[in-house]
Amino acid sequence: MKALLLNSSSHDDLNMELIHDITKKILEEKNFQVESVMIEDKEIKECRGCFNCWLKTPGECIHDDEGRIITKTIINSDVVIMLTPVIYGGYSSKMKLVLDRIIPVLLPFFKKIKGEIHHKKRYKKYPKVIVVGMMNGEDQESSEIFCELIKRNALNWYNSFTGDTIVYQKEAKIKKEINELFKYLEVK
Amino acid sequence: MEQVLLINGSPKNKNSTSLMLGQYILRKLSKKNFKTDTIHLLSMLNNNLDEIFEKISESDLLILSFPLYVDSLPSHVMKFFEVMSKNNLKHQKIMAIGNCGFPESFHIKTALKICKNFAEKKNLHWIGGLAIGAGPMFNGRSIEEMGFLTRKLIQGFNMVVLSIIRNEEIKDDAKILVSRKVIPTWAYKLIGNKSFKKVAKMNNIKIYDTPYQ
Repeated sequence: MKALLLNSSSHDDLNMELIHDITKKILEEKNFQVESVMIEDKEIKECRGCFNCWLKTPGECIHDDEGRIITKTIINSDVVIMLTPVIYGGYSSKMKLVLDRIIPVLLPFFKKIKGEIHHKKRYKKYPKVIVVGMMNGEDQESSEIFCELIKRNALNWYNSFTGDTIVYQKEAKIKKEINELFKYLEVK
Repeated sequence: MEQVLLINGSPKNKNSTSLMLGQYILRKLSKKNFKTDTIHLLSMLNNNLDEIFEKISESDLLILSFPLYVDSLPSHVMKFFEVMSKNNLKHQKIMAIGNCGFPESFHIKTALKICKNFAEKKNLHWIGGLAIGAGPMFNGRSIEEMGFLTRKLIQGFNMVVLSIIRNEEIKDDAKILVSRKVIPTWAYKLIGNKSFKKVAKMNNIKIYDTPYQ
């Protein structure tokens, strides 16, 4: 089983580094083959909304950069863990850079899911995604928006997204909360 | 004289629905003696950060117009929030306009909450958010050019303009009018899916290709 661990924080963010290390260890204990990517180190251009990945080169982005490689790794992983600081209830810009670039793994075609319009699948298999939104202090508003966002993502990505926010705290507590999130892998 | 700054959150400069929607408001305001200006966020964030700060500090009202990307704001708009979080802002007014590629406008709700949360945490005066579905239908065309399809949308936008002129917050009636479906969901789905197939044929591509698995 392959796991991709995406860290969208910066190198000087030691709190996130700790969360990263704890998560990596848990994955390894579960016998995952873990690939860890520090997004900051990668050259990734912004999605320019051109739809070439749907209508000119189906399934592939126009930007020939590390964004393509990460997208390919995501769709070929069993589990993807996204570690992101919570920014006003959203993903960090670096995490979002990766997310904006994964739309080629869906088809342009519209389909009704639970009464809403969404896009059809391109691939048979999609990884399970666990989002860990890190916050340096309590902020209920941002936390609620972030959890709502994960739910919206899950609807658009065939229920593959789950996750929560965690407030930075003692190591043992972080470990417990991340283990709680990993229960998602055992359900289906 | 009040200054209004349109922040175009679309990565596109031409054929951008975000730009077109924002400029409709700017045109109406400039007739009422507002001073208006537009910045294209993506290119400016990468090249000209100081100019963004300068223009924002000169403005009384910021209008952030953006396309919905993966249920929230495009990465460069999040970067804008990150950059601004480290800067002091005066108590400007701010509103947001989101548009999406789905026919239903409710997909945009979460993104507008993020904008409002940013505004409140930065002590800006949030005057409201607008959610518009079926964005690609406009393909950069102005809402006035689309005849009866956009009559409610125009009515809603005119109410927004009036609120700005009166220095009031955006009324709920206006938000409801702009968020109404431009065309029914079934028609949008049918037209969309047909046009994707047509373009695929024209471009001679295998639209269902699976290059990565």
